[in-house]
Amino acid sequence: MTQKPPPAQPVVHIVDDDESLRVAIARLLRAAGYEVCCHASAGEFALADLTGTRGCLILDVRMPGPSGLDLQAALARREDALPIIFLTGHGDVPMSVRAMKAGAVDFLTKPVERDELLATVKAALARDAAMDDARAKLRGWRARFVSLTPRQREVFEQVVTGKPNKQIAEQLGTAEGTVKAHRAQVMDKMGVQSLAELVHIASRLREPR
Amino acid sequence: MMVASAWPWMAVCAAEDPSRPQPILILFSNDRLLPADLRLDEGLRSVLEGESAQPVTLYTEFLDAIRFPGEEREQMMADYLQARYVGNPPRALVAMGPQATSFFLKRRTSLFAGTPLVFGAVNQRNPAGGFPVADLVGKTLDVPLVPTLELMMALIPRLREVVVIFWASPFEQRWGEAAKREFAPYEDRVKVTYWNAEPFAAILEKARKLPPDSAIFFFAYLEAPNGVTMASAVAAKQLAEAASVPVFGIFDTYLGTGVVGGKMTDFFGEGAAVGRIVQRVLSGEAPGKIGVLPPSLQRFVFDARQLGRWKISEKDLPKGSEVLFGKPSVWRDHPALVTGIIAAVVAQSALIASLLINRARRKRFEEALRVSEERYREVLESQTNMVCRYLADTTLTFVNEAYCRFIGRTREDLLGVRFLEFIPSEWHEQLLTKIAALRSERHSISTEHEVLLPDGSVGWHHWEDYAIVNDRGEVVEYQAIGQDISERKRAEEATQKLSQSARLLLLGEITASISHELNQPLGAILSNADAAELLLDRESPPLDELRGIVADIRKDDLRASNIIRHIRVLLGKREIQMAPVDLNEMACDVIQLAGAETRRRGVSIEMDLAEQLPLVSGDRVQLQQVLLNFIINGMDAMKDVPQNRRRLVVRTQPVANSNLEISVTDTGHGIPEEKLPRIFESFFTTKEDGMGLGLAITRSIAEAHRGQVSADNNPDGGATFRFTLPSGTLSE
Repeated sequence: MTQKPPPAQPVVHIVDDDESLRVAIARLLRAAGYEVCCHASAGEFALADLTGTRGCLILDVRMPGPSGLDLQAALARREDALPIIFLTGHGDVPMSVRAMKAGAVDFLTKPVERDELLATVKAALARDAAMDDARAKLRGWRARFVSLTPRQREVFEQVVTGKPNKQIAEQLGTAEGTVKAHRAQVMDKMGVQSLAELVHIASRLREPR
Repeated sequence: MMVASAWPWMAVCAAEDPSRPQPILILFSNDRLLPADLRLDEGLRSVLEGESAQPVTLYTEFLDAIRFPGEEREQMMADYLQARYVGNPPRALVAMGPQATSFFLKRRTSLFAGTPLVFGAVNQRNPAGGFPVADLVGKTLDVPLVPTLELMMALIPRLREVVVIFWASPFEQRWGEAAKREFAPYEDRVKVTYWNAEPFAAILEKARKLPPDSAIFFFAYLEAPNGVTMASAVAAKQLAEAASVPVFGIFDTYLGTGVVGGKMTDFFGEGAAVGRIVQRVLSGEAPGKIGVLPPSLQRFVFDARQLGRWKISEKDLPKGSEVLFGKPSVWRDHPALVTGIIAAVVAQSALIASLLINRARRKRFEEALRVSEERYREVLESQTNMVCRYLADTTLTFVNEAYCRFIGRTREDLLGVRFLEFIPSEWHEQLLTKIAALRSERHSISTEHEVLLPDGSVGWHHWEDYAIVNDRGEVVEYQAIGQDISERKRAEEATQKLSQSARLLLLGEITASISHELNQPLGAILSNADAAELLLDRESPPLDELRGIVADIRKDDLRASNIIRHIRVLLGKREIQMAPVDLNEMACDVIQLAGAETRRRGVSIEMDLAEQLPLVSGDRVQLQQVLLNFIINGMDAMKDVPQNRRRLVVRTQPVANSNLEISVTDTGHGIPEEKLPRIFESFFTTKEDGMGLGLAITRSIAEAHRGQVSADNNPDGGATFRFTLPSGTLSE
């Protein structure tokens, strides 16, 4: 009877202390077909449980309490952080540089034109989707890596440094044929066809979470 | 060198080296953080650090005599000072307060022997140390108690009881005794109760329950009977919060704590006055010539918020009262600016207050003149304002004590001398013209001009002159009342000298906060309109939602216009400092100020300034703002013009109806004809990124100066922005 729910629609979150502006932006985005959720302060947004949801965040810089930049810094520690678009009444250069350096999608100033806002939201959602894909891939690679035996991991680590089988065999104190077999199993388990792919995965797995 | 300088003569050598800052040791009687000490210190520093020709280094020490009394502790302090400054002996000693003064006097031969001593903050009526002030150098102050009591009786109808609060330190006890003595004659009209034996908590408790026909006279609170010490201003705050009736006080450090007001001692002014004496000592003037300066006159000062709280009308205040914290100010949001102009504003308010007093007094002077020349002289001698009388050729026939003091010459040296001798020659023509005008003018005429001081420096005076007429209506001679405004002028100059970038930055900050405020409603309006447009494209537009959108657009539009009105009100309400302004000089200042920006934008500026332009009356800062706005506008309009053709002409000229005009002509894209009539309206802009506010603010300023702004296109391209305003300075 129960159907698998459709993949959740991305939500555009708006965090702005100015109610009329918040409502107006929400109206515009809803009229353009987006799912929207409003928050009156950085704290309110931080308290909302958004684990696993996709979308993006439109953030005012100047708000009572924690500022938009504070919220950005706090969110940056989360692995699945939503992309951020800043929307500010008066953005100075150092402020926007700081926001962009910390990974913001864009830094828009109020009043913002419809086309510009919608295009930026689109870009932010695309970035979120891409990041989500990348994270999904990474999760897959991690799962595959965990399924390797200790010996296979040893071979994996040696192979990606570019050493020939013979040298690896010497180092691990085993026969070249054995290494070759392990190598084939590693390629198979990790689901790759080439050494280049394996090297790429190794480098992604080494990145800090 | 450092080791040997324990010898007095070596110390002198070290101090004589002009490249070295002169060390000055300031010793306060009381606690470091006592508000009065902080204000005295600020006043001292404003003069010694801000105005000294030679660099000085100020060292500050505190006896804290109330909490650490006794000969033994004093000697420890003396030993400490001796040890601390052995390598760097002070060039002058400053004692702030009676205990500090007697501390140094007792040790004239043992501690920093031969170093000149200047004292301050010592009450002329009650010198605590029992030392004779007559053969010293310094300044006494007066802390009158009775005027504040009389004030309370005048302001509070049906006042039946006055509670006087002072506490346990010897200092306060002495004052309490003085209060009892001086208030005794009033006790048939009002009951005076003294609270000086309870701990603070008990005082607060009692103050909560005072009946409405009573009021509190707060003297000080330094030490409670149980030995607890606290700063008086802190106590004043707690007391004013708790009390069920108004609290009056006598020190200006209490203002802002909740105290209503009173006849108050200005500690900043006292500090500054002592600083000036120190300068005279440092410049080598003989101590005997300086002597002890008499107390400054006290002012009635009030806190507007407290007047409102206790429903006391400003109309009922004594003439010349100063009311602080009255008007909201756009500058309150910009502390950087506040620190820059605060000195000028305070000086200006004091000046206005005293001019008001003068005007009222003038009538009485004339009356007194007829009644008794002798009594008249007495009145004048007690003034801190300068008073003089002179003939048409400026020969002085009378000068008061203050005049002699400010000019730095004795009365004998002054009478019969033309006062033009003390005035730089470039002012002579203007002053003689003024005197000629006074023959036919029934009102007084005010002028500000420079004066030459005996030490070769130049000061500034503000004078109100008027003709004295005999029974037959003939002008006999002229009388003038003046004030030294050097300090205000220096503050103005300091403001002027703020670096270009700092001032542009300031402008930017103000713009930033205004545009942030405005962008909220503007952003909401735009997004609502955009949303409506999208909804209208649907097959069946949701009418209810569209109605909601239109209502919100309306609401936000009103909000935006309220902000504009608010800004205008703020601009209008800022203390406008009207003063004679030379438009040409002002234009040069602004062009210099905008220099960095014009160079950056590759714009050349030409000046076409009319010679011999009369002065105008205006607020220099606001006038500068108008011109700066025009210049920035012109530069914006030339963004798309090739660099070699970006040219601005700033022109000043007399125009019809004795108006003056200052204009800025650019070679930019001009203004579309249909937009010309609306160009000075709020939110109207022809720029891509403009807010449409700059020119609207310009118009507000012009109106405040009884002038107008206009704009038109040039026949050969570009536009010209003009600001016309009436010439001549306002008198009265």
